[in-house]
Amino acid sequence: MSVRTIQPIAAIRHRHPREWLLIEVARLDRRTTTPVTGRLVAHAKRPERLERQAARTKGLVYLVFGSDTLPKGYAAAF
Amino acid sequence: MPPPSKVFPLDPTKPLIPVDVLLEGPQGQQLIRMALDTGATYTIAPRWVLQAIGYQPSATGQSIEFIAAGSVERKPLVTVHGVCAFGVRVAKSPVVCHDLPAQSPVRGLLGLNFLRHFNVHLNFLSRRLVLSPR
Repeated sequence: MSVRTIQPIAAIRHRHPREWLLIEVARLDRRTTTPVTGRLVAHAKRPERLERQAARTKGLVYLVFGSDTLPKGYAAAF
Repeated sequence: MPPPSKVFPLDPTKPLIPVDVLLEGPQGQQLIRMALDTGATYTIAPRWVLQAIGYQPSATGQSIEFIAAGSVERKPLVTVHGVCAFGVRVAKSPVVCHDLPAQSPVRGLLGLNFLRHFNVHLNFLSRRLVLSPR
């Protein structure tokens, strides 16, 4: 499947559970502030390069990790 | 009549409560995944996001002593045009500029200065987050 195809964002995240994803948002549900569909622009193990790319991109993009879990052996205390 | 409550799914098995947040500035918008954090005084966003939407956070501008788990650091504080989450928008909201470690699956924290505009009910037993106008 082409990385330029508009797809449900949940499906994109499901395919890349341990990577950072830069997604160009095609549809944002403003009632919930939830991105619904988009195009995968880039994916990487670390976020830094995608952050630089996101900052340069025109239009609405979404930077997200593939899953909402912490790496194995980690816990969070923000 | 006040706006109705909004109900969102809440997964009690996740290690944090993720929420999509749209930050608005003079040069655009950025959408990132944050964690809902009732222990955070302010919403926290990474430097690149604040720069991308038109701000130049620096220690020479407005800043705040930021007490984190294990450290106290001075961090820039930026008042953004708007913070949107759960389908609601809070205008002119202060945001602390801070980069979370790369190991974190979220890039920011949605803090009390956003949440206190609403009643937020975290019902873990029924797996629902209910956001109601105050």
